[in-house]
Amino acid sequence: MNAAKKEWLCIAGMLVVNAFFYFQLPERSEAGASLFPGLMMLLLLGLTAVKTVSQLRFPKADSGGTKEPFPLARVLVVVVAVIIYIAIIEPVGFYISSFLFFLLTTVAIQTTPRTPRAIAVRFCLAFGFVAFLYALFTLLLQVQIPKGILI
Amino acid sequence: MLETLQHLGNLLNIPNFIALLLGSIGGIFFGAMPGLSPTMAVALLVPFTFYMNATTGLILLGSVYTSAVAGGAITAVLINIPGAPASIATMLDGHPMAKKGEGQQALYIAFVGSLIGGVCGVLALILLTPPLAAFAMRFGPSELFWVSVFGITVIAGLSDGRLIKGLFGGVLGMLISCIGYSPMLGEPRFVFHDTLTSGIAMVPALIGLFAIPQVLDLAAEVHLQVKKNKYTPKKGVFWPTVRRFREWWKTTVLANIIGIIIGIIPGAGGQVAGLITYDQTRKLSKHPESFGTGDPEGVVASEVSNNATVGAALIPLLTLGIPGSPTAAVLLGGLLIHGLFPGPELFSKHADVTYTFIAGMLVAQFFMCGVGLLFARFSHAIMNISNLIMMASVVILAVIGTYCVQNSMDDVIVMFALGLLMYLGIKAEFPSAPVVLGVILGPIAEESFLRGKMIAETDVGVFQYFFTGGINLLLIALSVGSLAWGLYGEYARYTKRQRAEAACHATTA
Repeated sequence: MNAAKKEWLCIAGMLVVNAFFYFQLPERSEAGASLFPGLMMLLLLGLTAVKTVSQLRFPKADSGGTKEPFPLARVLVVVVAVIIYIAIIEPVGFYISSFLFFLLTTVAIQTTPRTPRAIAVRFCLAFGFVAFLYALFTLLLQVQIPKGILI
Repeated sequence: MLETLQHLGNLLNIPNFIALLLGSIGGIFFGAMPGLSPTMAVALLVPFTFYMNATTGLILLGSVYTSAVAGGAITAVLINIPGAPASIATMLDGHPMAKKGEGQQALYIAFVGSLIGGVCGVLALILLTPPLAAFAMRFGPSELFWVSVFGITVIAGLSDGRLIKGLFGGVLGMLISCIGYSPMLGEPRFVFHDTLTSGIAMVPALIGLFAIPQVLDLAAEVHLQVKKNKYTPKKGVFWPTVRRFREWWKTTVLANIIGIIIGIIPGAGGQVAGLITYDQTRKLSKHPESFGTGDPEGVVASEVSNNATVGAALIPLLTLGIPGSPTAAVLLGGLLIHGLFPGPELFSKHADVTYTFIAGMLVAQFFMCGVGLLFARFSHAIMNISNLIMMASVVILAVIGTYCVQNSMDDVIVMFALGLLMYLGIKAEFPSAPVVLGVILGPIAEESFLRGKMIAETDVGVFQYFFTGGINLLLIALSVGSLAWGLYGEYARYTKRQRAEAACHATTA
């Protein structure tokens, strides 16, 4: 995507943010709880207008050169993995879900060959890291951690 | 000064001493790992300080901050990748030194230089903070409101070439801070989901906005594994290297002055200080041609200066609530979750905590140097940790750090959602620091604004209350000045680019 297109997309995003907050703003109340957010929204709108004018008047040009393709699939895998991780923490428990997240995500997105040795190393690392967290949070700091069904 | 020295004894208390030691080790570790910034290190640790008393928690955050800035020199010298943004200028001569077989000297210079800069920065903090705090006693709601506005304009103005996006981020951060019930008027705003009833807590916002985008960047760059590095230190190098600081006293003084001034300017931080000092040292040098080829003076300039900003960045933070750097902005979060509000009260009502923290910052410089020199021997072990492992570890620490503040999975969801949105924002070149500062300063700005409005309506009127008075006018002028400076920079960059393009067209024609 060239720089100008990217900037226009960015302006569209700014407008979406404006619209989102506009429709969520409560009606003007007697007490004035909407006053400060309302002022901030006006500022947001003003800044979006300034950005639009500056893009029309001083368009951003491409910096030149070729860029490496963005590894969207890998990033999406991590995003989905984190969502699943967050979803299973309470039912499964923090330590087990963290162990699974560490092991499976690092194996799933690694770019080097998935040899049995590499997986065994990851297994040990995941186990060691979770054991460290257990010692720190449960034994030392005595933090309340989601226990889940197993621990 | 005397108060700080009187509180030095509190550091012998076992929890405080352990916090200093672990903070220094952890800070060097975080600093030495490319991809993990000092800001993220402090953001990840803020929730854990919740389980400590305020003094110990702040000492931990302060020592991590100072050590992470210095730790960035390890990778900057050995593999030409700055571990922390503040170490960019260190690479310019540090890595050429390593290539000439002087990597060990470069690391020793970096840590001793960081110690000198760090101590001078904290001395500036000790000397300048009380008078500024006394001055801040004259601040009422209108002044506090303008201070918040000034904080946002400065940090947005420093968003290199992205002034409007920086300002947009700052205002958006303030709007995000409005989500939930109004603290003064008790009415709901923007509560579009039940989880948002109590608003967006500061810790999930800090962690989400700083850590999640970096995690996703690490995932994207998983294939860019730096080649395995091995480094063997030699004996008898340390003292001869330290003795050479006598030759570099002018550079050391200059770096301290620039570092302290840049540190005090809100929003700037070590990266700017390092680069400016490096540039000035080269210009003033009798042998400028040697810079960039492995001149140890270049490492001195960068490292003394970037660590001098650490203590100095806390001056506007502790007195006015304006952070001197993005990391100081996160540290402000650490103060607030312990119920400590910047300003004169810190030095009267909470004097014990504040002066022990400042004394801790002073001692942390020595711990940083000791741990750094020791770690330099094993630095290859840290540098060779893969992006994959860092990515997974940071996600788990971010999740548990967010959860344990209020034992709430809702906070974890908010943290991740904000992080994901910030990642998209960063891809569209929106800087994250103004958003974070907006979230932190938003409640202060809103409360000051509403309080000021109430006072004004029964007194002189809103316009006169907010737009007259020496301090108000000074703060407004500074805010406008910082915006004008940012706009001028953007315009200068644009005209330079246009001229370069025109020259290019003329050549091809």
